[in-house]
Amino acid sequence: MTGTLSISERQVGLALAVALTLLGLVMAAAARQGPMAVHGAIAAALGLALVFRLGGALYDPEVPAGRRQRFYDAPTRFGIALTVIWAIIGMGVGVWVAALLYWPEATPPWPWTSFGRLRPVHTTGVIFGFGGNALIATSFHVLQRTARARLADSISPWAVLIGFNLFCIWAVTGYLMGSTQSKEYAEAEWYADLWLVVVWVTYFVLYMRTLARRAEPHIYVANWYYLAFILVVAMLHIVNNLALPVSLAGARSFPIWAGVQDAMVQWWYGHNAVAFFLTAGFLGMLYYFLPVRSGRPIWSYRLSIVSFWGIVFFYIWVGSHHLHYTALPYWVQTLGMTFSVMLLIPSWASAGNAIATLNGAWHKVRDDATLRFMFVAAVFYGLSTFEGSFLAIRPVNSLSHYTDWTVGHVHSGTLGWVAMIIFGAIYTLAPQLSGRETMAWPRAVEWHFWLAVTGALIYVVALWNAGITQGLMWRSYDDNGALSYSFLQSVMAMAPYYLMRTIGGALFLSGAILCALNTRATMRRATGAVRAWDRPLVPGPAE
Amino acid sequence: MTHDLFLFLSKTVGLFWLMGFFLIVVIRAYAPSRRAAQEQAARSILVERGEDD
Repeated sequence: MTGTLSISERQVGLALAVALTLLGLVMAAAARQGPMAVHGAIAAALGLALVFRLGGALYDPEVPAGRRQRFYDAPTRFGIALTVIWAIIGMGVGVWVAALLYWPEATPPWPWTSFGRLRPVHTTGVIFGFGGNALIATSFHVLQRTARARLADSISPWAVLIGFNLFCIWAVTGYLMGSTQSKEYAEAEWYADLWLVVVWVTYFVLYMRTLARRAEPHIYVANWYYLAFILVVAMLHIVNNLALPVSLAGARSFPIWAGVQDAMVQWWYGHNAVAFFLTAGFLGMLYYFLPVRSGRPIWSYRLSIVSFWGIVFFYIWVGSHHLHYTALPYWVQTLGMTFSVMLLIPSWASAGNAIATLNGAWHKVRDDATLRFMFVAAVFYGLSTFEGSFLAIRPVNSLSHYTDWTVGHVHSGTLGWVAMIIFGAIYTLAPQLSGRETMAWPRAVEWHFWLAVTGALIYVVALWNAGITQGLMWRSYDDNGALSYSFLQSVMAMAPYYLMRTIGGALFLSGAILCALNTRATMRRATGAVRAWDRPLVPGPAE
Repeated sequence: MTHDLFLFLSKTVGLFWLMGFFLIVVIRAYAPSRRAAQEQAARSILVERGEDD
């Protein structure tokens, strides 16, 4: 990090690190005890580590003059490293809690190891830690290449990455201590939410400033998706997390929304976290890396624009399909259902556009595991969006809701689509950023591909069976009109499926570990060479 | 603002907004005059890479 910053940038960085240390100390001192005090201490420790890192390098030699003529890739490399670390943490905890469902007696006696506390560590670890870092890291890369301009400055990318990861660490350690807002995918407490707003605004400003400096007349469609991700996530995050802290010196707070409005706001947020965190940004990744890897332009650029507006416009309305058969007014449920079904059109337009792009490049898909990751991602995207629209239909939902079918559906999206496109992007980026032709261990990519596909399929098929079995058992009546099965019987019937999902998840995790080791080996063998074409037309700002 | 008024607005303004928005997007995306720019944009991420390889 420090080697790529000029002396004046190191000074600004040092000032920011001192500010972070002070903020952490104030938080810890004000809270005295509990999660907020621990989080203050974490922030102070991180700030202090940065103070030493930047302070120690403050008077190192100035960076070479030619750096403005190159893209700024150090933050992307750092972001990819964080991505694979979070993949192992998030997926590792996921496999552990999956195993606990099969062997509940294995739960250790300490409160922080309970299922309820570990589950949000898994969801936050994979969605925000793994997915979020991948989105930020690839967005820096895609933004610079499509705009043909170097990032607008050298400090904010680090502030975004370090700040975002502090949020993730605050979130997961908070859950372990039992601190939660009890909102799905938004469990982190109020001060962490405020911190994320600051980080996110910095990210948005950096993105816009770099786009404004672009040398291309047209803003390539991948940027539209990344920008939708940044902008809408900010809006969702702020509205859903509006809360009044009990005290400024404590972690507890109460949302300003109450009752069914709270439920509606939460699922407006929750489903759009799927839409704009787990879909829009990753479609940006797909629309850049798939054409680049296959060497073919996107099949229909126009269709990508129409599906962009379709996805953005329809998705924002579908959240209420999470609240079928609840106190939410019937017409709002119907609205969510209708838009969910309509959403299939732009979703399949995107999936079809990606697959049609590969026409004429199928030999590459056969030979290149990296491109195959992207192809499988597009197929799973098509499958899981069809499944999503289907599950949103009210009578289907009456069978599927509250069962493991929903969990299976989410994992068909996250394992099959989101994780696959991330791995495809990492295997494209890591060699390029290391000045190499291939990954350090090309055969490991092939192994990873088959581990990931097998693991995802076992997981998803097991939970389809689990969910439909549960749903049918819960609605079976005997001749007297009494329920045929007790709830406990339906839980015990899950045993074989829970074992299979643990095995599927473990296969997927082993592939991710292979990816992390391969990425590390590739980056360690970096040559530092930069291809002639991989330079900005617009150099960085004058120093 | 009564519930009935909201309902009326959503069934009229909301509906036409949806359809109008769709129409504008399709016209803008498929306008023949934009074809060349879009073709160029789609290839922009590949061009120089190809020359170098």
